[in-house]
Amino acid sequence: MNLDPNNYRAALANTLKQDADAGHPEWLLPIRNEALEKFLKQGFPHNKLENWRYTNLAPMSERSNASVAQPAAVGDVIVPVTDSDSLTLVFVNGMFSSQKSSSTSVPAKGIVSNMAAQLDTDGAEDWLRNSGDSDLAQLNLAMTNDGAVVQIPDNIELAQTIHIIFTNTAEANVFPRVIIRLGRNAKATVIEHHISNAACVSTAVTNISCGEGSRLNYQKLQEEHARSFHVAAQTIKLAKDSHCDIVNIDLGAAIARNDLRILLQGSGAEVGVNGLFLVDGERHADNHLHLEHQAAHTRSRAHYAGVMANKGRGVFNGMIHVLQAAQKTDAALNNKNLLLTQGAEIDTKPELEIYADDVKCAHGSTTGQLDAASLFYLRTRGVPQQVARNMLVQAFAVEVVQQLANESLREYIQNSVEQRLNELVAVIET
Amino acid sequence: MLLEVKDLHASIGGKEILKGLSLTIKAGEVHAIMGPNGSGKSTLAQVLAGREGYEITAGSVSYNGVDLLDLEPEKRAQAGLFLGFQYPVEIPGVNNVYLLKAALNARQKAAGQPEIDAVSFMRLVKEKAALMEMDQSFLSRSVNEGFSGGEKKRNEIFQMAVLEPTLAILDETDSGLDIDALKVVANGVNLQRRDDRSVLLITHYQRLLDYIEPDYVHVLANGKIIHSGDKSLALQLEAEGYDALMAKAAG
Repeated sequence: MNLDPNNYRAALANTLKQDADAGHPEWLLPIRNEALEKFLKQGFPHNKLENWRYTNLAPMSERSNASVAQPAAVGDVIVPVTDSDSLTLVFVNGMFSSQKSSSTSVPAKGIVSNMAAQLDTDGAEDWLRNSGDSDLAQLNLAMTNDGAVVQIPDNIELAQTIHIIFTNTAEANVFPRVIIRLGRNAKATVIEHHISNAACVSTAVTNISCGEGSRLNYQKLQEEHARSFHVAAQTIKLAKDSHCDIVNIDLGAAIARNDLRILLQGSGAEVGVNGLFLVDGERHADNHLHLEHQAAHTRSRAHYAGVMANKGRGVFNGMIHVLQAAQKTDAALNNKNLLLTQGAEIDTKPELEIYADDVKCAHGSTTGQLDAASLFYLRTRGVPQQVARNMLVQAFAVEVVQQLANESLREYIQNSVEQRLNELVAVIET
Repeated sequence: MLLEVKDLHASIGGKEILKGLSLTIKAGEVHAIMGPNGSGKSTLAQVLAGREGYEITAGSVSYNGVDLLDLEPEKRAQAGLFLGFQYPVEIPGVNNVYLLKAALNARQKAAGQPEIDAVSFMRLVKEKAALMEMDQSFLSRSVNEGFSGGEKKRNEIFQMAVLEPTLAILDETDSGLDIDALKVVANGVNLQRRDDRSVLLITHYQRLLDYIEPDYVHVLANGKIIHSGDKSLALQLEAEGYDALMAKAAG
C-alpha cells in the first residue's frame, strides 16, 4: 500500500496549527504526533491480516492519501429526523455546527457538547488518550477536528435522547469521535448517526464507558453516501451491574466496517447487541464484534441480521471471549443472513474462545434465501409475489429496527430500511 | 360450472402423482375427497392453488371458465380461490392483520375496487375473529408463529372468513384437532356456506363429515377418483375401509 507519509504529516501540521489558533491545550500536540507516527508505521490494514481478510481498504487509502484534506466548504446539509425533545449535536464535514445543534444544557454538571469546547475539562486528556489500539483509531486521534462528548454524572437519568449527527456534504476525509461516559447509576440514550450526500472517507472512533449500575441505550446508524467509506472502531466498557443495549445499523457506504469491542469488566454487567446490515449493488459491509467477558456473572446477547443482494458482500465475525475469571458467563451470539440474488455473498464466522469452565455459551449462524413455503403461503392469500417477497424481507429486518428506543427515530429508520429493502427486492429476478 | 378438472396428470420430481383425475364442482356445492395416505389428495390441493414444482403433464382445470393452471397463485386467490393448508406456515415478523390487509387490498385491486378503509377493515377482521372464537390478541401476532395445531387451523378458517372465497379447498383441516377445536372449525365453515360459495374438503377420515355435511363424496386412490357418491359413501368407507373399495374398483 503506497502511503505517502509526507501527505499525512503536512495534514497534521495543518491540524496542529488549527489547534494552536483555537487555543487548544498543549498536551494535544504530543498526543497527535505520537498517534500519527504509530499509524504511519502500520499504515492501513490490509487483506493479509486475519482480521481484514475480507475487507480491502486499498481504495480508501488511495482516496485518503490523495486528500487528507481539511474540512471542505459546507454544501447542502442533510440533517435526518430529530425530535424536538432530543439534545442534538450536529457536525458538518467534521466541524461542529452550533447553528444546527440544539441547546444542550444538562443537569448537574453533565456534559453534552462538542469535544473541542471541552478540551480544558479535567480528564479530557484521558478521554483522548484512551483511543483503542487500532491503527485507524490512531489516525483518527491525530486528525480529528471535533466530536461529541457525553458525560452523565452519578445517579442522573437523562430523559431526552442525545442525537449526535455527523453529516458530510463534501468528498472529504472526516474523523468523527464520540466519547460517552456514564457515572454510577446514570441512565442515557445516545444515537450516533452518520449520514452523507457526498463520497466522504470517514474514520470514526467511539469510546464508551458505563459506570456501575448505569444503563445506556446506544444506537449507531450508518447512512453514508453510496461511494463513501466508513470505518468505525467502537470500544464499550461495562462496569459492575451496568447494562448496555446496542443497535448497529448499516445501510450505506461503498465499504463499511465496524469493529465493535465490548468489554464486560464488572460482575453482573449485561449487554445486548442487535445489528442489521443491508448490502446491494457492489457494497461491502463488514461487522466485527468482539465480546469479552472479563468478570463473573456477565451476560451478553448478540443478534446480527444481514441482507445481501446483487454483488453485495457482507462479512460477519463475532467472537465471544470468556476469560478464566468470568465464571457463570451467559453468552449467546447469532448471525442470520438472507441472500436475495445469485452473486451476493456473506462470509460469516461466529467464534468462541472460553477459558472459564462454568459458563453457558451459544453461537450460531444461518444463511439462506427466502423461504419458498412462506412465499407460497402468502401468495395463496392473493398477495402478489413481489409484495410477498418484500413482506418476508422486511420481516427479517424488522426485529432489529424494533429495538430502536426513540420512537421518531425508529419510524425514520423503519422508513429508510423499508425503502432500501424495496429497492433490494425489486432487483430480484422474477 | 365453477370448477372443472379433466383428466389431470401431475408429477413431481419425475414421479406421477395424479393420474387422470376428473372432478366437477358447481356453485354452492360442498364436495369431499377422501382417500388413503399417498393417494394424491394434498397434491391435488397444491396443484389447484398453484404450488411450484409440480409438472402438469396432461389434462386441464377450468375455473369460472378460465384456465386455472395458467394463473399465478396470487391471481387464483384474487379470483376467489382459497387454500386452507394442512400445515399452515409460521411466518415470524409478518403479522396476521397486515397479511390480511395486503391480501384483501390485492383482491380489491384485481377487481378494480378501491382499497378498504382502515375502520371497515378492522371491523370486518374483529367480527370474523369473533365468529371463529379467536382471541383479539391473535390478530397482532405473527402469522401462525407459536400457534398450537388447533390455533393454526382455526386461523386458516378465519382467513377464509375474511377473504370470502368463491371456492375454498380445505386440506385436512381436521387433522391434529381435538373434538372441541374440530367443532369450532367445522362451525366456522358451516357458517360460511352460501349458494355462491363452494367447498372442497380433503380429508382422510369421515369424522369431519359428521360436522360439515357434503353434497358429494369422492374416493381418491392412486391418483384417480375411483368412486363418487353422496354422503353415505363416507359412512360406507368408514365401515368397510379403503381397501375393500379399492379392490372393488380394481376388480
